[in-house]
Parts: sequence; C-alpha cells; structure tokens
Amino acid sequence: MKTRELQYIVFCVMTILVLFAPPVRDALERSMTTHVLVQLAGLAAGGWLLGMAVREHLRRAMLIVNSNGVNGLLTGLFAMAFWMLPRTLDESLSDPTLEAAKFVTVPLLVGAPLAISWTRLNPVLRSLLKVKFISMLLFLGWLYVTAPDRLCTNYYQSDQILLGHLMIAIAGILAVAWALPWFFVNGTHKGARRTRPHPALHGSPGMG
Amino acid sequence: MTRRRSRTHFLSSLAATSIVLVAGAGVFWIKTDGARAFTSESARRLAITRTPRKPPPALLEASDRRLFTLENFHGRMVVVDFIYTHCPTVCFSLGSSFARLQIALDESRRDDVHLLSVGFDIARDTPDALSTYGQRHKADPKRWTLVRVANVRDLKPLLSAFGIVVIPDEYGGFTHNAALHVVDRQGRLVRIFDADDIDGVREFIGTKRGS
Repeated sequence: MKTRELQYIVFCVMTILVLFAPPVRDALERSMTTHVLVQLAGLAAGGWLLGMAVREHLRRAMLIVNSNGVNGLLTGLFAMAFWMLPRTLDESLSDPTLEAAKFVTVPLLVGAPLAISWTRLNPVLRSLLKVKFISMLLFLGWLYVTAPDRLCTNYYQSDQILLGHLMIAIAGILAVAWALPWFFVNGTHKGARRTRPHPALHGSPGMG
Repeated sequence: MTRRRSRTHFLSSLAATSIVLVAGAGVFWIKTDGARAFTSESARRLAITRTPRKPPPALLEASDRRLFTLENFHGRMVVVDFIYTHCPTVCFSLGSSFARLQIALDESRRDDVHLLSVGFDIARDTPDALSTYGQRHKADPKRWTLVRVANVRDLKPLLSAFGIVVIPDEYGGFTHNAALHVVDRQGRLVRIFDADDIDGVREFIGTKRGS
C-alpha cells in the first residue's frame, strides 16, 4: 500500500471519528443546515477518501461486478437518496440504530462506491452526473426555501430555508467551478485525449 | 479469450446491477412506506391510520381545575390538538380551527363529539391561561375542554404517543407539529388531519356516526 493511500485512510478514519464524537455530533445535529452540509457531506467525503485509497486494490474485483462503474454509481445514488429523505434525517435523531447506520452507510455506500466508480465511468456520463448533481441541489434548495411547511419535525422552518439558500449557492459555485475550465480549452480536444479510454468501449458484446 | 472474459464481466456486472437495483429500490420502498411517506409527519399519520393506538393514561387538569383522564370521554369521539397559550402563530390557527369545528358541530347537533386542547407548556399553560385562551376562541365548555397534564411526568409519554415533537424556538416559544387528532369512541387515536383541514375531520366524523 502506497503512502498516499495510507494518508487517505488516516484522513478518512479521522473525519468519521471527529464527526461521530458526541459533542461534535450533537452540535452538528442541532441544526438541519449543519446536519446536512457538514455531517452528511463530511461522512460522504470520508468515504470518498477511503474509495480513493482502495481503488487500485479492488481493480480486479471491480472488473467483475462494476466493470463500467455503473453499479457503484447506482449504489451511491440509492444511498444518497435514502439519506436525503427528510424522514431519515428526522428519525436518525431519535433512533440510535438509524443514527449508527448513518455513520456506516454514508461513507461505505455513498462516498466509497462513488470514488471507486468515478474513474471507471464514461466521461460523458461523468459530465452528465455533474450537471445532475447541480440540478438536484437547485431543486432541493428551491423546495426547502418555498415549502409552506417544515419537512423535518425536529428543525425550524428558518433553518430549512437557510439550508435551501446555501444549497442554491453551492450549486452556483459548483456550476462556475466546473464550467470555468472549458473556457480555457482550445478547440483541439486536448481534454478528451487525456482521459483513459473506457474499458466498456473495448470488446463489450454489444460493440463486438 | 479476452473477448470471452469481457463478455463474462459484462454479464456479471449486469447481474450485480440487478441486485443493486432491487436492493436499492426495495430499501427505499420500505423506508418510505411504499413511496407514501417521505417525511416523519406523513409517516406518523400513516402509522396511525394503519394501526390506531391508545394513548397512555394521563391525569389532565382542565381550565376549571377539574381533574379527569381521556377515559372519561369513552363513548364520545374526541378531537385533540396540542397548543401553548403563549403561541402567537400556529396555535392561533389551531384555535381558530377548533372554533370553526365547534360551530360546524353545533350546526349538525353532534353531541357525541368533544374538542380537547392540551397545553404542553406546563409552566405557563395554567388553568387561568387556558381559560383566557378558550374565551379568546369562544370555547363552549360543554363542547370544548382545555387542559394541561396534572403531573409533569405524564407529558412526554402523552406527546410521544401522539407523535408530537416540541422544540423551543428562538423567541421563547415553541415549534411543534400542529394537527387535528381524532380519538374514537374506544379511546384510540385513529386519524390525524392537517391543522386547517376542518372538512376532513367533519367528513371522517360523519362516516363514523353511530358506529
């Protein structure tokens, strides 16, 4: 295992432990905004680091069950959708089992599979996912800002509206950050050549 | 050889895809009660509709200082809401909902339905405060009783049986899920309606006439 990978694992474990520590956990869960944008996002980021650390070691296994990265992507999207439900957010506060499950499944089922699969995904699909992610943030942000009622019984409406506004702001920042490089690419498809050709493009039955 | 192997990989990945899809959709389906409850509020209502349940016995103190329990209403249907008398917003709308409901019940001459407002702010929802709240909303004592729990320790079990989450807000008041709760003649919580859904409550009570 390379030093870089060890560093990723150390960072991952530290992130999860810090977020799990009762004082930090209580402080973050007091507000819907930090619950989502710090705790959940932090756990997913920790999982992403883990995924980057084990990516190379799992290459052979991934070739079998995740050859084009779609399965890891689906796993990540399902788990993300699960933890995006206002209901699971609410219930994790009162149900210790669900709370524990959050600290295990967000890193292992959201962050890690996405990191492992990201490099396997078709570049076109990757760009599409970035656009989808931005539009999801915009939609949820708009929903949180305009919903007439609270979506979580444990949080204030003002908190929900703040979260909505921040999500819209983040969507804007990501849109600019991801779009900006395109303005500096010259017409010769330089970016496209640098990406590794996709395994699925070689000799899959459909293309045979 | 490579071709055969990539074909195997494609097929094994496809098999894994179906597993992920089935498991993912299955978990999501179960957790949302078949895509019907995405929030804990809708989950609470759905759970009550499916399996009505009896709230725990709690001694209640009315605005006229009389003591009684929910059991005393047996044989009558009771519509319950949870309030705090210092509330300027949601409880006010709950109050006016109950006032409208009271008028509707008077018109239909239903004596078998009672209204019960439970104040959860033990310290400030004194019998006097409850009485003032009642007068403000023209509560008819024969029809509408305002109470708080007599023993503080009964409050939490009562709130959680009804699924009420109360959180102190920034302005010295409370934020809570406001709704109209229907308790049937057997003393079971059977249905929960939006705070302003008078028609829903009336319709539901209407179908239960004499039952």
